[in-house]
Order: sequence, then C-alpha cells, then structure tokens
Amino acid sequence: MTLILRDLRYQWPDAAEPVLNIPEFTLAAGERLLLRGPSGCGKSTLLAALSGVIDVATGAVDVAGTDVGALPPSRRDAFRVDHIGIVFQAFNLIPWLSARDNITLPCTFSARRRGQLVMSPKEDADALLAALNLASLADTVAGALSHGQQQRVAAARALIGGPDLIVADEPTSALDPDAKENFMHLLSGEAARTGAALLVVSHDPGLESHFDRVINMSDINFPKGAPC
Amino acid sequence: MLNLALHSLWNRRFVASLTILSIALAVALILGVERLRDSARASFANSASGIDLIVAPRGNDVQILMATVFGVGSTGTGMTWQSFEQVENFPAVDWAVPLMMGDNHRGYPVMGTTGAYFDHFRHSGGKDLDFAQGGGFEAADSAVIGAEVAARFGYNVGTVIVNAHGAGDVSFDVHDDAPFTVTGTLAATGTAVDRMVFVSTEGFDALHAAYDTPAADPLADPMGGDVPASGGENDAENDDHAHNEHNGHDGHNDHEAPEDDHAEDGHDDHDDAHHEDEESHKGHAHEETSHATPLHSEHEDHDDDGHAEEHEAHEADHNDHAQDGHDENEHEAYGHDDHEGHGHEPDQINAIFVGLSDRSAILGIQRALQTNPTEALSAVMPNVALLQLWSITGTAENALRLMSVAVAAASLIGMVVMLSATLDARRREFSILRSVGASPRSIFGLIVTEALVTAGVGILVGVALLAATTALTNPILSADYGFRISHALPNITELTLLLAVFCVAALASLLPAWRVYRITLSDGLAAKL
Repeated sequence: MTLILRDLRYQWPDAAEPVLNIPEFTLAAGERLLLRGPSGCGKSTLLAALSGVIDVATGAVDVAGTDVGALPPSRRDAFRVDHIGIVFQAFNLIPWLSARDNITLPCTFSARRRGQLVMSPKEDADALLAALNLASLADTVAGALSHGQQQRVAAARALIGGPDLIVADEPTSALDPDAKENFMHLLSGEAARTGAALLVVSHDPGLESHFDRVINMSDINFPKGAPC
Repeated sequence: MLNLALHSLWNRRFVASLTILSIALAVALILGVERLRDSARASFANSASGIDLIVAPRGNDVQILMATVFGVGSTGTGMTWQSFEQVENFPAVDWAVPLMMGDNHRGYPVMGTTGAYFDHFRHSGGKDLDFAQGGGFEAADSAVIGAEVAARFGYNVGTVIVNAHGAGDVSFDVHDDAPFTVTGTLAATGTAVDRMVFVSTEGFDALHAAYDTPAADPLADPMGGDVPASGGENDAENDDHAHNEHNGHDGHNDHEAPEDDHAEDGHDDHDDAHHEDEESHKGHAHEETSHATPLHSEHEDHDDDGHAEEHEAHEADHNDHAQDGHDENEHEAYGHDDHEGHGHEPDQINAIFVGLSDRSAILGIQRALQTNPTEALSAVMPNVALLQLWSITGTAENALRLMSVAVAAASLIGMVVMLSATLDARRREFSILRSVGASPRSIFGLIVTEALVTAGVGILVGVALLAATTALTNPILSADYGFRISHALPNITELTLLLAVFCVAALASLLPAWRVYRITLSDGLAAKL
C-alpha cells in the first residue's frame, strides 16, 4: 500500500469543528484514484495531512511505509519531496525560472528523486517535456507560459524522479474542457508509466474515465460523526 | 542552490545591480584610499632615497623636504654660498649639491643645480638617474628635463624653453629673455624628478641677472606682477609668452633700481628680488612678507658689485669647458681661480643635498649647523621629515579610511534592505520552494547565498572599477603630484580588507535570512495547498 489512513482526525487551531475524521482509507501502489466532493469538505486539508504540512497523530498517515505523523518537523520537508509529487491548483511554478529548471527543482532538494532519475535531471526533464508536448518551451520562463502549458510543467515537476505518490489538488480548475481532457490523459498516463499511485482531488465532473477508482469525500470523511 | 540564487537575483537584476554598484563603489573607495596612501608613501620614499641630509635655511623639516625633493612650495629664504662651502667641507661629507628654486616651467618646478645632481641623486632605492636622451648641462643656458615634462610638452634635446617666475601653475612673469636649450631628458623614474626642469646654477642666476638692464621709468607700469593669478589662461600665457611679461620685468626693475646698485640683486633668489616691493608682488606664491627683513639685511651684507660682469665673462667661458666638468663630476674642472674651484658661485642658493661618506656624522653636522653663528640653517634627514609628514597626514588618512568604512557599511546596509524588502513579496516563491522539498534551512541558505553572490560580485566589480579609475587618473596624479597608484593586483592587506567586507556581508545577510526562516516556518505550504 502506498497510502494508508487510519483514524485520521484534524481540527484547524482556530476552528470550532474538526474538518477531518477519516476512519480508514487506502491507496495501492500504481492505483489511480479520483476523490470527489464539494468545497469545504476537507479535501485540501487531507492533502496537507498526507504531505506532512500539518501535524497529525502518530499512526494516522502512512505514506510508502513511513509514519508521517511520527516524523519530526525538520524531516517532513525532505520526506515530502522524496516520496510525493504534488500538482497544485495554482500551478505554483517559480515564474522567473525556465520550464526545465522548474521541473528539476525536486531533484535539487531530494537525493532520492535524483537517484531515481533515468538520466540526468536535465535530460529527464526534457524527456517529460517532450512527452507533454512542451519540448520547444524548455527554456521559456514559466511566467511566460499559458495556463495549460504551466499546468503541464507542474505535472512534469511532480512526476520527475519517480515519487511513490502523485497528489493533484484541483489540477484542472484553470483549464478549458479540451485541455482538461488532454491534461488528465497525460497525467494518468505518466503516472502509470512511472508506477506511481495517483490521487486526484477534484469536483470537476467528467474526469472519471481516467481513474481506476472514484470515491466521494463523504464516503470516507465523517467530521462531527456524520458524512460531510 | 547557487543556480537558484543566481536566477533569483537575475529576476531582480535592477535592484540587485544597484546594490552591487554601491558595494563596488565602497570597495573601490576602501582600496583606493589604501592604495593612494601606500603609493604616495612609496613614491615619497623613492624620491628621497640616496640623500642623507638636506641643508636649508632654518625652517620646518617637512616644508624643506617638500620644496627640495618634490618641488612643492618653497624653502622661503635663501642661504649664502659660504654656507655651501662650509657644508661641503665638513669632514664626513661625500658630496654636496646646491639647489636653487622659485621658478617654474609651465607649472613644473625649475631647479637650479649643478651637474653633480645627476651623478648623486638616487631614486627608488638607489637607482641612478639615467638620461633618456642627451646628457647633462653643456652651457649656462642648458636645461635637463624630467621624463614627464618631456612627454607632456613633446620636448626633445635642442628644444628651447622659457621659464616663468614663481612656483605656481600660473605665471605672468615669464623669463622669455632668458631661454634655455634642452640638452638632456631624463628617463622616467616615477618620482618627482620626472616633473622637474633642471638648469645650471649659472643659468638660474643669469635668468634673473637679465633683469638688471637699466631701470625703466618706475611709474611705467604700476600693475607689474600684481595681476591676480587666474586658472586656465596659463597655457596660452606661457605658450606665446608675448604679453604681460614686460610688465613683470618693469615692475621688477622698478624696485631694484632705486634701492642701490647691486648688480647681483637680479640673480638672487626670487624672494630677494621681491621682498623689496611686497605690495606689488602679492600675486606670487612666495612668502616674501615673512622673510623680508632678514633677507634684506643679508643682502646688504655682501657687496658684490660688479658681479654681474664677472658672470657674463664666466658664462662665455663656461661654454667651453662646462661639459668636461659635468661629465667627470669634478667641480674643480671648472677651474675658476677666484672661486675655489667651483664652476659658478651663486650668491644665494635655497638648499643643499648632502651625501655622507660616514652616516654616523649626521648628528655632528646637524649640531654644527644649528650652532652656526652666521646663518640659521637646518639639516633635515629626509626619512625623519617623511615620518613627520606621515604623522601630519595620518589624521587625514584615518578620516578617509573612516569615511570609506562608513560608505562600505552603508552599502552593506543597502544590501540588507534589498534582501529584506523583497521578503514579503517572495513569500509565495518560498512556499513553492518548500513544496518541492526546500526546508526552511535551505531557504535561509538561499538568502545567505544571494547576499554572498551580491557582495562577491560587488567586490569584483569594485576591484575592476578601481583598476579602471586608476588607469584613468594616473596621468593626472603623476602630472600634478608626481606619483602613480600601482596597478598591481590586491596584496595581502587588501585581500584581507576584501575578505572583511565579504564576511561582514555574510553576517549582515543573517538578519534577512533569519526573518525568512521564521516566515517559511510559519507559512509552510498552507498558503497554497
């Protein structure tokens, strides 16, 4: 299992109610899962929990065999980049770096990701760019790319160096329908190719065809003891 | 990490380059002050080497040194030839060279001396003066010019030059009736000699003897010599030396003629010539006023009427054998019976360079001169005078250093401001970096790296800036002050200074780096996840 959640509870420090209460959830290696649900239902908090950005109880989150909650804060950054590739809703590219340099960032900070490269960071990045039809834009700064191009670069950055788990948070919200279809096709295809588990959180309809499993947030999350 | 820092700085290249420029200026200033100081000291020390004592009328050691060795300012009063002979005859004295000063050639100091000067003067730790062209004095109207003078005006052997009265750059009193012919140009020494014009003592005297033509109407030109000096006109003035000089001569004569019939007045030191009419000569750089009285009385003491004729006779004579005398460096070769073997005996000289065969005799000579009953003289050890000079300039040097350190501090503060001011705007950048695995510590390191790159580039640019400035200003420095700033790569001291700037920059960068550490810790990825 790439991801195991067990009795995951979380309440933001200044909130009255807990936002997460997930008794059990698992994701197998290489499995592609679409997690659906309306806004405000804890999707983003869930991603924060499994990437070690928020403090969770020991034993609640297990990613690739590591108990995230047991990691000291200083280890969590390194752990995240070693094992998880994240595609953000807002792309989160560094605008003044070239597309290629944005993609190779995880290799800068993670020896593990670097070690899992097929070739050099530059060549792997170029291979990913080619697979995403962006080969000609490798040296263009990210800020000069269109939304669709930025999203593909963000995907390539999450994929490089073969992390165990790819997490995408509303990755298609900024894309038009054609681009959405195209992007999801590329993302799931690349995840399958590298053998990574793919967890996409989205409330976009019509993405189901790209996934092995589709579940609703309300199926797994029971804040206040009731479904979201 | 370095790649990231470089890209990040490049992204803010406008502000970053301004910061780099300010650091570069500070570095150039710090090094420049050091080099200016070192070069000035080295140059001064080089100029003064080989001279054991400078004997001059009682005065300030530094002033005497500046006037005689560097041609800056004057020694004030003159001293008698008897004193020269006395000094020359001290037991431990190896050689003695008389010096006469007070004229300039287009702003460059003119020294009246003997051919022995070129034999005994040493520079840059014991090197001889070499002739680039020609040789020493051949006749009374011979002139030898320093390398800088030759290069600046394109003079060669055979060029006829005219000197002007006074030490300043601007003169209205041009001796165009007493031209000199260049017989030799000296090889460059990098010292004050490069910017001097040397003429023989008899030539120097003859220059002023020329004034002793019959007096014109005393009221002919009340303006004579009193025109205030004004910059910029000088070159034209000296180039065509066509106007005003007669005014000067007239004025000069005006106050000589009624005084008495001393023929030698004219070839005395200028101070003598001028003190008699202080009013009309305020424009000159000399300090006539303060020395007027002693000089005047000195004058009256020796009554060398008819000396001028003797001079003329001597000059004619001199043309025949002057060269031999110079070449062999034997004063005796002049063979003037009436002057104890000296080629020419000016009545008044300004200073004597003395070389000793036994340096332990210095104190004895100093004591003997101090107690000299006939004339108040100082015997200055150049090195001691230089130390005095450095102790005077030390305060100014320290002030300059302090200023340059303050500028460096300001520029480093500017760097901290640049790094700090952008932190808030870069929070998103930091959270992105954290999301791809950068720990707060990495981002701390990123800020420090940016600071070090900025400071490092600033230092390199500063060194380059200094080199460029040095190359540009050296001609001016060497023309006006007789020294150059070395082009050399930074020495150990300078490298230490640069390292200090770099380290302070590293320390200063800890402030914004610490802030960014706190920011990234509290922000996490939450802002964007």
